[in-house]
Amino acid sequence: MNLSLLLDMAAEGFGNRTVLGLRDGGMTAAQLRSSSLSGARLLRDAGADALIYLGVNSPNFAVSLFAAARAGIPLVPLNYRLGDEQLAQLIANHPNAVGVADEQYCSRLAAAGLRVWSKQEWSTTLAEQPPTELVAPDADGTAVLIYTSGTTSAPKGVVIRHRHLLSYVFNTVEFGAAGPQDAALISVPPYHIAAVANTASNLYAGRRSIILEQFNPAEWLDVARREQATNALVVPTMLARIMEGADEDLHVPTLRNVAYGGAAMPPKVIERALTAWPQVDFVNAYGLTETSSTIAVLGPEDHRAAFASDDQLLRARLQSAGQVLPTVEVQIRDDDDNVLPVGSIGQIWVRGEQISGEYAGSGSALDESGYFDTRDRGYLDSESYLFVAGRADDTIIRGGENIAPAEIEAVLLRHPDVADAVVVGIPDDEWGFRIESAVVLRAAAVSTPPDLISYVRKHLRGSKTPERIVFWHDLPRNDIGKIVRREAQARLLSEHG
Amino acid sequence: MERLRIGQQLYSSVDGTAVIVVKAGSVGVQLTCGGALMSSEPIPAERRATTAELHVRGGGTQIGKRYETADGGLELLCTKTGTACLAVDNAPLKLKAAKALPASD
Repeated sequence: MNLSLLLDMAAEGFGNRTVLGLRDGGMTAAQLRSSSLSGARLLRDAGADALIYLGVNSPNFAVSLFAAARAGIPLVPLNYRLGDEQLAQLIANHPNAVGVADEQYCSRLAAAGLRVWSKQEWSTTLAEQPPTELVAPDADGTAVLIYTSGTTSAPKGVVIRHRHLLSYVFNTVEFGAAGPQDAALISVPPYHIAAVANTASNLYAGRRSIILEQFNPAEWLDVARREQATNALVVPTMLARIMEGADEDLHVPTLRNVAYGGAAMPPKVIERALTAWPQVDFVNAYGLTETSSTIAVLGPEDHRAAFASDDQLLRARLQSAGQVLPTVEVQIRDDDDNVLPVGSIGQIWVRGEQISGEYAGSGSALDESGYFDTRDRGYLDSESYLFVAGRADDTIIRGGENIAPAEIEAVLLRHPDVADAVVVGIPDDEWGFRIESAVVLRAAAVSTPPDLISYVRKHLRGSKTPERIVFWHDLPRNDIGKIVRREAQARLLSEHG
Repeated sequence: MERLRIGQQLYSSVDGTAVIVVKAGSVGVQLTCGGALMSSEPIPAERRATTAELHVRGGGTQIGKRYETADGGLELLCTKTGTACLAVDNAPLKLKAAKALPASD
């Protein structure tokens, strides 16, 4: 199996359709195929064993993805925002790779002795290389190697094989189902699994992908209107920033479907979005790098039903990850691997064809029955809606009690004065860890820390109430919008003085 | 008779039809296209057999469409269009209706 199959099908089924870029001057499926053939030939001739992509998202990303696939080598998209040392360590894992990079990052790859093309050079070189037919290798190869975000530890390379991506696409997308006017606005970074999965899905559906290289809300709205975007993929912090605009600025008449994922969605943000864009179908996509992106979906009807409901249990579904895909099985297990009943919180384990669970250098992390431990905690309700309570590693153990910071954050985020909040455990002689929180207030808010502490105490047990709340201007979040708890912890510790 | 595996790619020996197995059961089956057994390697045009069954039913096999057995236990996705039709144990596969998949992106 090879990812090239998707592009071969696209070129055969709708070769003249523009699938990448702007309405005027974009690349058709047939052109993408030709470029990828040229690219594959270049990669083969260079004798590379991997193609590193170091830069912002761009149409070159899709070309690179499919050129690498056709050449039978993995694409390794690296995070250009990483510090020099960390980036150098990742590059050092691929001494026989070649690279495609933004102009300003070329030197990082060259410094490691790798052959590198700037994006401009890559485009020019491909245009000069005649596309000759190349049969993609059919072995169980690696399509993409994605380093996990490493918010709690050093990044590990997740091995996403061709069969994982093909399984995901074939099981969730109908071929060519997009209309010729459909266009998806993509603003997620290329080193995130969502970008890879989304590129493959949109191509297979025949939906044009418009890449926004750097996100800012004004430009997002501008491009969405100008290019008449019908679909969009965002992470929650992007939607939050878009929704900070005044109502009259949010008008995007062509927008019909917005998918989000990558981090927890603050309730107030999705509620505002549902109000501001009633014609839009919202989709919450839960997944990990190790599961080749989405394994559970909260669909548009679920969003609307929950939002409109007065029933607390139904309303709560708006915060759920939805139901797992038909091709995925889920189990909630305790720490001894026993499967827990409905309603019990435990560790989320999943199994399915699209799930990799494999790391470079350490092999498969699947258990004997093929299940993968997501290391997220959560539970299933009586109708199999999956609720994610947070990373197991984030659990605060206070006086022997396991406390999920996400639960306390959710309460804080409901307070009208709170714009953002993080809760962490701080080492404590008496309790092991005590609970502290950093909050970002809305403009003109008047709440004090004691106000917020008693607010939390009203909603949760005393043991789950933060002992201290400080106000910050912003929280440390990575580029996907995930809170970097380690940093919040360090800063809270240092502020004790 | 062979047991098909998910992800297995099969090629018609009478025309250009190609499929990939999306769902498979545990029982061995006889998969044909245009009445002839399918191959695990693509067969060049000049080496294909001819068969009278090619145009028995209209529509052929269309790229991107799914074809399944009556019980839904076996599902094939067509990866290359052809005029011949698919059958399992001599029963023609039916076109699976495209339904809204839980697509997230």
